[in-house]
Amino acid sequence: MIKLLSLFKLFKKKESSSQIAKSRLEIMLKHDRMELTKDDMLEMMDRILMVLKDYVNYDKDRVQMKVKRENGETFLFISVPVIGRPASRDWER
Amino acid sequence: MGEVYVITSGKGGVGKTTVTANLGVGLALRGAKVVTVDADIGLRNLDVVLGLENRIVFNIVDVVEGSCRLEQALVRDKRLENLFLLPAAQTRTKEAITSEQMLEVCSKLRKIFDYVLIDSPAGIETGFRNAAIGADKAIVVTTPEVSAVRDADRIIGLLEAMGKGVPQLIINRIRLDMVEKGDMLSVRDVLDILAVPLLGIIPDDEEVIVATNKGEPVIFRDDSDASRAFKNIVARLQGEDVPIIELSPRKNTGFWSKLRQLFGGR
Repeated sequence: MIKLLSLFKLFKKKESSSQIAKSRLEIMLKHDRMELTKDDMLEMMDRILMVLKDYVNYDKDRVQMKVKRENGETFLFISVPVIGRPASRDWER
Repeated sequence: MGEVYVITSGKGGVGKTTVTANLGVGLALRGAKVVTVDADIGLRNLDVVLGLENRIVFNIVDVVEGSCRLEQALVRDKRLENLFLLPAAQTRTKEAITSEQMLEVCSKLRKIFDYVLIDSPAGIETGFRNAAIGADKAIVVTTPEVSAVRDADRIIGLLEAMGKGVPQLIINRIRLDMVEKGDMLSVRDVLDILAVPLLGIIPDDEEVIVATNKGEPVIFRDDSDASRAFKNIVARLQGEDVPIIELSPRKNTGFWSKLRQLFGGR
């Protein structure tokens, strides 16, 4: 059965236009809600990750950022998959 | 004291005026005393959608400039005696009214009516701010399109910044066939993105255009999907617990839908 399922996956349709719409919106609204330019956002992420890498190893391909709104407040969520501690903290004397 | 609602969207052409007209009629049909206010100075439309364009003598700008009394500018609906329209001026601009004047108009209207429904102009500038300033609650109208949802998000942020609380959402012109094919954002998609409470969904229905052609809001009819959707929204506004009509794709339980799911259909 598992083999059959993976066979079906071969025929899986490409991403639907509504899924494309949703992901485009999610990206757009991050900038809109933060009122930051794309460059500012990227710079901010770079600097945050620079600090993190001194303390933890993480999978940088799976780092995700979300800007959500709840009850009139804006929240920034950054999820960083941690995969261990760095071998040395050589910035420390 | 009546409740003041602003109906707004950011983007133009998503159905604010149609929603305002239908909710106004719907509330009046249930016996409430209602006034609809056209805050789109210079581009007045609500009178046309309600079929009252020939009855206008004075307008909201005349009221704030003192050329007439408020009661003189109110146009009574030709079908319902407890429904009124305060028309916009057609030959003036948004700057003809200040926020203080708008606040004063709202506070007078709420003493007379159970519901004051303000139809906001598109945009995020003076016209929108004036329309929203006197409102207790906001209703944001969007369609399931990228541009409309983006603007709705912006307007939700602005309303919250103005202290209007979290607005309620109406998703207009949903097409189930397109949602099922994966070619239109679903109700769930839009709610995931905007994260505000849903007041209702209105299916894309040709009868709405027919109704606007005639100047008779579709909610007067009994045989249209849009009419039923508007009636449900009106009931919710009055505190009734009416479930949202399930317009999202059917639950994938049958054999064929399971098969479709496997092939990547939704």
